[in-house]
Amino acid sequence: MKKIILLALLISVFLALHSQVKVVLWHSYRGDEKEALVQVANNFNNSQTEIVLELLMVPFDAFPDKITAAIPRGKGPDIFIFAHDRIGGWVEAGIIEPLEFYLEDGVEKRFVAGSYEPMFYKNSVYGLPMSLKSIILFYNPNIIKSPPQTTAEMITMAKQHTNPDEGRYGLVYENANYYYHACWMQGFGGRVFDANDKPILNSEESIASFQFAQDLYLKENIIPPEVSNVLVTTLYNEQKAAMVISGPWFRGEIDKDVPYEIELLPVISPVNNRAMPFMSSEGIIMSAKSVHKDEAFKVMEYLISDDAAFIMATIGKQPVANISVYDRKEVAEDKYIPKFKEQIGYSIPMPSIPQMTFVWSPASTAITAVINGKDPREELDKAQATVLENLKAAGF
Amino acid sequence: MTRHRSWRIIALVIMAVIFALIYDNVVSNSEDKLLEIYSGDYAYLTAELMDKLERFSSEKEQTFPVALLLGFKDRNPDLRNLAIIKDRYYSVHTDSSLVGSRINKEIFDAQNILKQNLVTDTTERPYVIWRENREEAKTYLLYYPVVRDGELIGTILVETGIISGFPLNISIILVLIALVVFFLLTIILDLYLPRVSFLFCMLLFIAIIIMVNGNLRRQMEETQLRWHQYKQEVLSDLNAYMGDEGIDLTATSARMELPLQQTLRTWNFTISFLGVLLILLILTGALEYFLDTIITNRMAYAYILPAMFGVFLLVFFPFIYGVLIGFTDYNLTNFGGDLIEYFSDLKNYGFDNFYNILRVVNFNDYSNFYYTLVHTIIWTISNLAFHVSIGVALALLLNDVKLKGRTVFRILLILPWAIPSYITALIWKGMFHRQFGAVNGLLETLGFESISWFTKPFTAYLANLATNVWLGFPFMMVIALGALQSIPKELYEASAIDGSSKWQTFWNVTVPLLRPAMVPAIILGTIWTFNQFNVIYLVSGGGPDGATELLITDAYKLAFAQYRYGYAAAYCIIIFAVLFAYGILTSNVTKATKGAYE
Repeated sequence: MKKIILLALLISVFLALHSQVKVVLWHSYRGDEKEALVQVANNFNNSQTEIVLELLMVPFDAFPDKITAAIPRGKGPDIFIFAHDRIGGWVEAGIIEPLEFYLEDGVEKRFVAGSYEPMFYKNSVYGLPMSLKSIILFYNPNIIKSPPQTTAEMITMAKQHTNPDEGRYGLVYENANYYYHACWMQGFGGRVFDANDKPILNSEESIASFQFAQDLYLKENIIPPEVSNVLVTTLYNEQKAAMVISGPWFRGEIDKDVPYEIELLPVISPVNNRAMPFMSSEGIIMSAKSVHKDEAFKVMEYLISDDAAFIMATIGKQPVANISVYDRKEVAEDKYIPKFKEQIGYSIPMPSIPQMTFVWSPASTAITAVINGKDPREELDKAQATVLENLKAAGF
Repeated sequence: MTRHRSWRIIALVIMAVIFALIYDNVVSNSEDKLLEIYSGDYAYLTAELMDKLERFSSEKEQTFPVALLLGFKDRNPDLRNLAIIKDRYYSVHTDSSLVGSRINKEIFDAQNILKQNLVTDTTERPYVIWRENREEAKTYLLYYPVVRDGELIGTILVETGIISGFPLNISIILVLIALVVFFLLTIILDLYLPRVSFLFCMLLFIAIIIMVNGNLRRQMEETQLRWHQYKQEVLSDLNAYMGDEGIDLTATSARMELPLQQTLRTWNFTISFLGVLLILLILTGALEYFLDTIITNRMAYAYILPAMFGVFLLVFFPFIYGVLIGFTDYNLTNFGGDLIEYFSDLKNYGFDNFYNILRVVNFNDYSNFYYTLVHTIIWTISNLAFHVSIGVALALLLNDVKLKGRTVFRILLILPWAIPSYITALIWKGMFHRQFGAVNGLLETLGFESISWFTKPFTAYLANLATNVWLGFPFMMVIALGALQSIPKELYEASAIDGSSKWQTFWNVTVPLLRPAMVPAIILGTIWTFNQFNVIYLVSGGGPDGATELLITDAYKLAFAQYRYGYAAAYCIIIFAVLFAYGILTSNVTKATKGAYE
């Protein structure tokens, strides 16, 4: 008798589980962001009984490659959270699903200006923005009293707080990383691609910005050599870095007893333009191979809802894309999130066309060489030639 | 042979099941393909029609498409329901499984064509309406507002998903009956004519396949005809409605015939390939011999089966897959498609990758294959020299019985090997930091200038080398130590009695006896070092400017930074070829497997 009851129980449990649709979401959040997302997922699972949302954290470094490899083989998630910049490649590879069929009219009005457009590729929309990320200037209020508004001010201030013998530096950022360098490059007026998607790495503006980056390191001597992201964190936490250029993720890396403030990236003095970093609009994207697309879309809708965005903003400390959240008191009074939103206004969405993947490696090679004293024009001409050659070989 | 009859029958059953599975796959694949072709085609067709109709109707009446859709409804029994809600058109069809992601792409291609050619001054994005009825029905209807000078002058509709099925009636029952007859015949034949039965059964099976294939082809042709008629009917309707402005659809018809032929050729290729392979296997007796060996040594094969399975899955399958990719232009733009379709099309194969890799010799270009090859070889030789000399020297020290605390030293010296190489590599990278690194700290204390290690090829190379020497010597030490301990003491005693010096003893006793253990270790070490990905990737990152890349890190970057999978796979095939040649050459020259006393 016991066995029969047990069996009946097992069967009923099995049936109960079976009637629910499982939607798998991959993300690469850690720390506060992860905690917030888990809370959102729990709220969603408690709010209804049809769909079970299951989260899986995949390390950021491996994320795009895992998506690219897993989804075509039917092993991937139903939905995933990632920055918009890989959308083009994923569309060309047939990995992600267009969303027009699901969307209501006027959905774009729910997002912060500039966050929805990057989700488009060839006139179709492929993601719903959740948060916006761009780099910004962090400074240590113990060292810097009022943050610099121009690069001239920044250099002067940085010089006062630089002493290589003690390992102190005025400005620490990954200057040999093209992603970080892009804020100067675009501030000078350079771009990665022209209007016809042709790479223009060696434009005059771009060359000027490379020269500027070289001067910051070699001439002004305010940046430590060979900056890696570990070095940025270490120096800041030892209070040996007065200013740091990094993104919202840096907040999680700062020790609890080290104070920090943020400020917009400065106006570049020679051209009188504000530095324009790359902006990534992090969105929720649907797999083309999902077998529960309707349910997956319901989850996506929930994730961009006001309540979910509020949790992501307050607990996850994210500059969220949902615009109405900024009216709520807790967010409006936050010291940091509105500032990040302001910086988004001075930023350029990272190109999402697949050609971009071919730019990173040659561009990083060029900036590394220039930082270490090579001629900007020569290096950029070389990088431009390499990118064109690789693009041609890959069939673009 | 008769004693193995039951085994043979089981083998036959297994093969038949495999064939049935392959065949089933082919059939369902072909149905899918038909649907893809026609649904996509339908989108083009309707787009074209709608455009003409719109231009025609915008002058006359705005409600025109509704009438057209109603006409479609009468024509097409699959179209169950049609509703008009607030100027949008909804229609519901019978089968949801047929509208897949592939059709989406077709729609969007159609959409783009429309945008480029027709609706030049559309100010709005087109609406895309999706209606679906859960389990059974789904269709897409695209509604384009055409706006000129700020005024809505008409609409264009693109509709798809209407084609709900081209059932290919390969009746399962027919196939089942054929299979049952096949088995019965097999068993009867095996009882009375054991020698020829195998051959005969296989021929019979091929005959069945050819028959069913013929049936399939006939049905495809009928389907094509039906589609043609249907299109003609719609056309005549439309032409009647539109009066003088007729529609010329010769272009779409031509487009339609083409993919169908292509698909048929792909299956024919697959089936004939398998058939020919089978006939060859039977005629040469290979199959019979193979089965016979398996049956005779069945216990042995049963024991190694799990291992064989694992080896196939983890080694041979990826290897074959890699080799296949190496001959194709498999890259970012065709990554997500149907792999079976891609790999079964002979058009996709060629030697271009190899030609492009090997064509240019330029030692000034760090990304050139030959530069990287030479760098990799220098890297391997210099590493091995350090590994072996340090390893053997330490082993000789540790082998000295008079040394105190040998166990402690041995454990300490194995540590670099025991710690995961990622961690070690990252620690070394930190130690080579220009300002905060330990190496420059040491140099400065000794009164030297600090060095920027990763900005010059040679110093970056040295940093990599130091890291990999640290990682590599314990292995050689362990091997040498083991070999040293197995050298009999009598030999040293005899050598001492003969009055030889320590040096003579080393060269004439120790070295020859170390050799049999060290040579395979060196061959293995060469292969590891040649493909030492971790150290290069984590320490110098290949920089500056790719000067310290190895072939394997180059291949990685081609595959995962540029997404040129085919080209990267070709790179790997060349790496394999180099190492394979090296392996054969060294094992012949050094007689690696020669024992110590031979």
